[in-house]
Amino acid sequence: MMENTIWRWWPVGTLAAGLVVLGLLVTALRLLASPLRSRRRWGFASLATLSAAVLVGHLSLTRLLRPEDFSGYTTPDASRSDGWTALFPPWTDCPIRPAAAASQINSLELVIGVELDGDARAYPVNMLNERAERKALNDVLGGQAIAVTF
Amino acid sequence: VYARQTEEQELTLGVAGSVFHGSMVLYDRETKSFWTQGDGKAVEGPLAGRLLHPIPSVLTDWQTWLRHHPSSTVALRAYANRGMTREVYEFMGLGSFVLGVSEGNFAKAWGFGELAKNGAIQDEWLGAPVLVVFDKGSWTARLYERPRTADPLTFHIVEGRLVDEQTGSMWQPLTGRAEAGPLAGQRLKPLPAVTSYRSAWYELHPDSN
Repeated sequence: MMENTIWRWWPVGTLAAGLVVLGLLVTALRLLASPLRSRRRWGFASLATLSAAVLVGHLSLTRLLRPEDFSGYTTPDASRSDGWTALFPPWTDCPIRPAAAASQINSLELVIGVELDGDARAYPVNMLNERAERKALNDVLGGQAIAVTF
Repeated sequence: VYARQTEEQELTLGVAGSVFHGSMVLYDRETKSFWTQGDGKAVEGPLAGRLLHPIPSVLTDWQTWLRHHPSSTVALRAYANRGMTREVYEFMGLGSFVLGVSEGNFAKAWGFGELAKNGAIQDEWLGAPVLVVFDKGSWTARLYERPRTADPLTFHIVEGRLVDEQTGSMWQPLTGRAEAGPLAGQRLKPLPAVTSYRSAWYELHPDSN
């Protein structure tokens, strides 16, 4: 439970929920005590609705989502003693194709080109830029292990 | 682009998910050290202070790369976003981009505006003579070592072609290969300079020229 950064904040959430419940109780009591046609009644009512919404939101987050739901975002082999855990595993499995089979790349799209030991390979910038976890690619070119980043 | 092999081990790099001085932060799976992407420097963890060895690369457009490397392969996984094209240079203006090179505490950058005007600039980097060349057709900049015969070669753009003064050989600006003249077949050694946003470069290298 504790290895996940999202899950580690659960005490704060619980405390907030407690405050909300307390607020709801006070509001309900004052609502009962106030005269029926008072303007303040509507103020209390909207406050109560808001509190209820926050409470329901908090409960659904903490009760319906289990730590397993976040497991896709953690790599158990990449955490440090200071509690930091990688959100994204390293990207190591990008398919390599001959240039002729890459008709989907537009002619003016930017690419990073690398030439090592006679081997030339292009890395489309838009592919590296599309998702945070794909901004660094681990590859091997001309027998050399390289990281292509954008 | 960096080499992942260090003296002790091969590293596998992932995105750590934060930004430090305008540069993306990477981590390595093996030691969980943090690295800044812009300069390849470990800023935290067991490898703190280490530098990744940079590999020369070129930022250009797909058709230009293909023209000069027809037998190239491409790392390709489906993607939808098509925003980064050569047109960003026109859209943002040449002044927003630099070609920069750095090593440890040293950094040097050349603005695209100046490069577009001159085409070929003779300069020095870490005491060695270098050539900065800009291909106006594809808006591509590269940095090469200038080979020495007796003195280092000096290059000019003559009628849109890169020519050295000493031998009159004709060089291809993007690959650094001599295509005609006495030095035909020779190649200039590329240096690991990167095309970067001007603002990002100076945030990471405030002491750069």
